[in-house]
Formats: sequence, C-alpha cells, structure tokens
Amino acid sequence: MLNVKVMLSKKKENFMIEVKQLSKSYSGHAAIDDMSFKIKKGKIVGFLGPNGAGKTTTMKIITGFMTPTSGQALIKGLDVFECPLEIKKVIGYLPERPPVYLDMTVRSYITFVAGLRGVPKAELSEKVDAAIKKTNLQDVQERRIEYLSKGYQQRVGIAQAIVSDPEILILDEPTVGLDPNQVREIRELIKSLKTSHTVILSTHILSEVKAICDEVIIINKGKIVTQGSIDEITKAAKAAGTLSVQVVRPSESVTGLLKSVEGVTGVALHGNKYEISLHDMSEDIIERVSETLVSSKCGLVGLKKNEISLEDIFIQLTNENN
Amino acid sequence: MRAILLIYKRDIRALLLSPVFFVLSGLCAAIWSGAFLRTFFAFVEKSMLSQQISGRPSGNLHMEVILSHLTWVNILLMFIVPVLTMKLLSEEKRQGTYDLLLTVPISSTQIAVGKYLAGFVGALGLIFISFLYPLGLSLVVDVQMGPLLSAYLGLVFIGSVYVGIGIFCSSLARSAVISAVLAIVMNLSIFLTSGLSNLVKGDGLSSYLKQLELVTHYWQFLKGVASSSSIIFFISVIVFFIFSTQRVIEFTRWR
Repeated sequence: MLNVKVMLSKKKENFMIEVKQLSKSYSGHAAIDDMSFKIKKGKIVGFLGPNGAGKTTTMKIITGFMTPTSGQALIKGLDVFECPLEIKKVIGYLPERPPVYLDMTVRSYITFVAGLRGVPKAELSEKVDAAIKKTNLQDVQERRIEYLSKGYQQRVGIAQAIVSDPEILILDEPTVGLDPNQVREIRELIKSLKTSHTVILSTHILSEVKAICDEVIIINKGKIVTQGSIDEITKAAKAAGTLSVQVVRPSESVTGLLKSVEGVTGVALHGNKYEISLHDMSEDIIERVSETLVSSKCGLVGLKKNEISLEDIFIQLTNENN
Repeated sequence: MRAILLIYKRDIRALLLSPVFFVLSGLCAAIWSGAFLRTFFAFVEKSMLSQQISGRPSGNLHMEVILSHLTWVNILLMFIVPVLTMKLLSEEKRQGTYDLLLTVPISSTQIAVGKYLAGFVGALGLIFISFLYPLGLSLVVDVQMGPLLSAYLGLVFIGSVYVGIGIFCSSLARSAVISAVLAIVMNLSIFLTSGLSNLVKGDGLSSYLKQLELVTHYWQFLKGVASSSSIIFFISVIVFFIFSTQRVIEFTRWR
C-alpha cells in the first residue's frame, strides 16, 4: 500500500507540500477555511497574516500535530493523517513557543530530540555539534535551559528543529524575541538552508518576508488572500504606487486633467497636495503626469514617488474583508 | 524501543534530580519509622506479657507488624505516587513540549509507556525504602520471607496501579495540581468502594463483583497467596490505564 503511494507521488510534479481544501474549526468557529496551496522543493515560503489568521493552525496540521476537520495535507505525496510517522521523519518543527525542557542542559536537550527524531547513535554527537554551531549556542551548551534568556531559548528551539537535518522545516515565528543581531543571524541561517531544505515560516513582520522568502502566502481570517512571489504580488496589487505632488494653485480643472492622463488610476486632493495613484511606476506615466502638471500652470513645487510596499498590500488585503 | 527508553530516561532524570522526590521520600521514611517502631514495640510488649501469663509467646509477626507497616506504606503511596506522576504529562502541556513529543516520529503508545516506566521506577524507589524496615527486622528476629515477599509483590502491583492512574490523570489535566488531586481521589476510591459487592443481593453476582475489586486481589497477596489470576488481573488494570493514557494523547490531535 505504501509502495503504491510512493510510486504515485513520484509520478506527480515535485511538490514537497501540498494542501488541499483544508479546513479546521474549533467548536463551530472556523480557524482555517478551504485553504489550498502547493510548495516546491527548495523554496522558502512565508506565511503572512495578522494575529489569529490561522497560520499556527495550518502549520500544526501540516506537522501532524492536529487533524483537519476536512481536506487533506500531503507531504512528499504522503497523507499527513494516514502516515504520521513517515511524514514526521522529514519535518523539523519549531512551535510558537520553543518546546524546551527547562530542567535540561542545552546539549542534553538537543541530543534527546535528535534521538527522538531517529538520528542514528553513531551520528548523534556529530549532528548535535552541527546544530549547536549553526545556532551559535557553543558558549551555553552546558547551561540549563531555564537560566537562558528568551532569545537563547528561541535559538535552542531552532537548533532542535534542524538537528536531524530534515527535508522540510516548519518554523512558527522563528525570530520572535531575538535581538536585531540575532534576527540577522537566524535569517542568514534560514537562507543558508534553502538549497537542501524546504522551509515554511510564519511571521507578521513584513520585512522578514522580503528579506528571506521566495514566496508569500497571505492569510486573513482563515483564508488565503493571495499567494505568489513578492514581485507577482506587488504587480497584482491595484496600484503599484503613488505620486505625492505639491502645487501652489490646486483647482478642479487640474484634478480633471490629471484623471484623464493614461495610467492614472485615482486622484485625491488634500489641501494643496495631490495623491495620484498609478497603474505602474514606469517612467512614461510619471513623465505624462509631470507634463500635464507643468502645462496646466498650477505651480508645481514638489513631486515624490511612493512605491507600494508589501505593507500597503498587506494592509489593503487584510482590511478588505472587514 | 529506543524512543520509549529516551522518554523514560529523560523523565526519570527529571524526577530523581528534582528536590520533590527527596523531600517526599524523607517524609515517607519519617512517618514509616515512627509507625513501624510503635507497632513493633507494642507487639514485643504484648508477646512478653503473654509469655508471663501463659508461659509461651503469642502473636503473629507477619499479621501484626508487617501488615500494619504495609498499611502505612499503602496509605502514603496513595497520596505520594500521584505527586510523583502529576507532572509527567500535564507539565509537558504547560511548558509546550507536548508539541514536540507529538511532532517527532514516535507513537503515542511509546510516549505513554515511556512515561509509565519513569513513574513506575519512581514508585519502586519508595517501595524499596519501605522494604528496608522488614529487612532490618529480619536481622534481629526471625521473619518469614515467603509471606513478606508475597505481600511486597502485592504492594508493587497496587503501586503500579497508582502509577497508571497517576499518568492517566496527568494526561487529562493541564494543571499538575488538578491531576494529582484527581489521582488521589481515584486511588482512595479503590479502597473506599471495596465491600460494595457485599451489598449486592445474590451470592453468585456478589462473588463475581468481588473479583472485580482490586482490594480482594491485594488481600490475597498480603495473606501470602500470590495467585496467577490476581497477577493477571493487576496487569490488565495497569495496561488499561496505559491504554487510556495513549487514547487521551491521541485524542489531543482531534481537538
């Protein structure tokens, strides 16, 4: 039975993680609702969403910690629910709260987890050393975890997730509680895992997504709002950016003229400042806008480009449904 | 097997390295010492008195001293074992390591068995301490070893049931205190409900029900009778609680 499944999975395209119409509800309240996505091998995917959007629930289902109410999650073509032990072997998971035993030392804890993840005894100390080195825990490896700061505990959590060298890493808010230097280190670490690992990380920090992710899945209220690479998402947004224009003599006729310019999607006037939304930020459109302004003799004194950021898209998308 | 051992080792270390275990062992030893000496001296006094009156010593060392000691041991185990086992699963939930155990490639049976073994060895430690008293006694007076060992086998079995109950309660609650209280109530109810079968009319039914009482089987051991049916009954009760724990762990995935 298992062999058949493995063969079937080989036939398909090389998706590491496949989620089909996944739903989960707690006592009638839908935490995630009809969610589907596919993730290819070697990608770093960012799960983005406001608090309570369903990021953690989705991750818990993919790791086999929880069962979905309906739908299916496949890891390497294997159903998470039907073959929990097989899929748990290839996943390294860092929950929201680092799952550490406070009464153990860093080293004995990571060795313990490596054993549970089935690392052979002969490779045990080598793999543990590697994980400690990658997360920069050498100095504290003999300390008890309860005496470590939040940032160190978080790093211990990351170390346990990577210790068995899993093909898939699922990290729930990996950089929470770290100081800026550590954040950078951890981001570098995640990026360095890219080629050999598939990574899903959840976050509500947008700069993090920009810094490390190949693809983004934006979730709000249990539903996927949009997904794709950061470029694709930026392009697909309604307006690629705005021009802030300051004029001396704003008037109705100028507003009308601006609206008629090709490529302009919206014009708003605040005092003597125009906020002009553009279809895209190409130079032709900006040139046409500036020519119109100059020829209208409204007294152009300032012009500033505002490219749309992931923040704007995020705010746009997550507020739309409210 | 490796996973069971890993979990067992981690938990037994956590148990033995915590001051709780030592404080509780000390407390038990203190109470047992006081009670044991009192009953022993009372027994000696009575025995000597009877020698003065009738010319020969009377009394049964096993029934009067050792069983009285075992009663004390049993009563303390009912309260102390739940304290030893209360954290085994509830603490995992509280500190978030439950997520770890359920996302590494091990089965919930392995978790339940590993945890049970750790609790069992902890309880065995306490029982061993209590065994030192009759052992010491055997150095000064002639103690019948057969009934003593049979009684202790019974004690190990009833202690193992307490561990099973303790683990099961620990799997139910998120708070260690609640799981301990729940387990203590269940342990007490084993003894408080004994004899209920006598209330049932009809000898046939009553004797069937009597066989379902743990106390009936425990008494067999105390009297020096280690029958295979009692052993099998105890083992099935223990397996039942480990199985229930495994079901509860499995159930967490469905919420």
